[in-house]
Amino acid sequence: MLLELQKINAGYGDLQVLWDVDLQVDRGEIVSLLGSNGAGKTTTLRVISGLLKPFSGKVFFNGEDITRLPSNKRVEMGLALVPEGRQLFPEMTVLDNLEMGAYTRRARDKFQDTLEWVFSLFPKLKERKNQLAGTMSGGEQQMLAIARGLMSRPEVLMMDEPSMGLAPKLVLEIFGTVRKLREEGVTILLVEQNAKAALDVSDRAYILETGRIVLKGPARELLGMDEVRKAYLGI
Amino acid sequence: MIEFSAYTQLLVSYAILGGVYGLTALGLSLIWGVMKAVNWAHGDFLMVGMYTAFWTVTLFGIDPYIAAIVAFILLGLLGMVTHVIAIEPVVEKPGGHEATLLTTLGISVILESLALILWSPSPRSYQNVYKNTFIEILGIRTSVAEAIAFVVSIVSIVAVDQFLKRVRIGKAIRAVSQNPIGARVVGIDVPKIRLMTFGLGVALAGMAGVLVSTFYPNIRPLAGYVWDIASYVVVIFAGLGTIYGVIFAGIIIGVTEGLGTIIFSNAFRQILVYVVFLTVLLLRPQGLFGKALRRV
Repeated sequence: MLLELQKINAGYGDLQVLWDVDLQVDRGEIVSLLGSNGAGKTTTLRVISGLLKPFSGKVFFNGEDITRLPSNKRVEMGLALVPEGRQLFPEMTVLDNLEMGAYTRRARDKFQDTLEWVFSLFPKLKERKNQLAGTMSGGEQQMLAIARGLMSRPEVLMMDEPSMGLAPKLVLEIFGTVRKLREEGVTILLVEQNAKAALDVSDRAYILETGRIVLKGPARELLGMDEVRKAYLGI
Repeated sequence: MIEFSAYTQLLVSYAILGGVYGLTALGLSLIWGVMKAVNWAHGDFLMVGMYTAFWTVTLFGIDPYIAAIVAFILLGLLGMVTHVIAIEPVVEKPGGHEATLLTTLGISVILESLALILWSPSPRSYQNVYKNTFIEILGIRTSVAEAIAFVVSIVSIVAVDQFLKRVRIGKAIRAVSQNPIGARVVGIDVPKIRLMTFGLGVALAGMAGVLVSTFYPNIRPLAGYVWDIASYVVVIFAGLGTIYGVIFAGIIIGVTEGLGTIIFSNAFRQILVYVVFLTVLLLRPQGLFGKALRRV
């Protein structure tokens, strides 16, 4: 198992958001974490990436207990997050943002190779490499956020609502990229509100409801379940 | 005409002082940018820099500009120790940014008291050839000490800017100040960057202290106070997070102080600084060179 969460309880101050969350991601999989607003999807990713310390429970990566490690050590191990709201460096150029993406020792030496790879995935970023990140459109910023995540040469890439706020055409493009990344050997944990699109690209999925995992299984099975179709697909 | 040239002379002196204000303010600006902490002890670090010059020059007879390097290193270390004691423990806690106001005030009291105990309240100065040698540029006479202080200040500010733009660690400093969450997500060790930035900011104050001490014969434990106020005004005047803005804002504030001396008197020279400062705050709160705060 590449990534594993065991009985995670987490939250903010007195407010508990996650209750005994168990989750597993195997190498080479695309796994989706679905659920409505406030179900705890972003909180789960924050716990995995080390931005939030859980109240209890454990996070394992490559068999190693990383629950107490700071976020920079986790990126160094190959765990990258494309965060909610993109969190780019607005006053820096596209190229500088990508260079910061390759900040870890793990990624530093491969910077040129990775840059070429990322530019081949997102040719637009190459055209715009000297533009300030803050002046780009929402779709371009999302591309840059994903590209910056890839610059760290992750084994697992976590994406928090990459389709949020994007035009339908761009949403298709983003999910196309997700598929392409899997072919390139990147394992993906995808958090989405756009359940249909996410299930279409995923191997397996988990559904969170008010901080608890209520359903899990192969994406195709979930797509066929009445309760899923009613609650999340609007069919 | 005689009066006129005396005024020009005075204003040039204050413009030069303004260059050093810019260097001092740069440290504050960096620290604010990266950790949103207000360093109330900044002027006191400048004072320690002055004493570093005094002691290294009088005890070892070395050149004051070598003392500037010594002060940069020494104050950089002192800054990092201070950061570990006063900033890092509170900065990420709720209300932490406000808490740094109190913790750095504590550091300020400690530094001033120690200086009073160790070095007595009486002002000191040291002999150096630079302040007694004069040069004339475009009809304006200035001491070599002042000319060097101005040039070194500007060069240092430009050097810091290049460091932030070209060197990997410098870019990481900018990354943290633009988006701390983004910085953690890409694997930047944010606490380490905070530590280094605080060290750098204090080191710059220490260096500024040495530069001032070469022409300002009034080294005393409470000398930092004036510098605190002046450099805060410069930071806010320039706009937070603008590097070259501090050069111009520093010079403008320096000249304004000079004008205050001419219009009122030496003792009231800062009145005019406050008038200009409050006007800027009212009309252009983002600073003269800063961009308006916005969400990206």
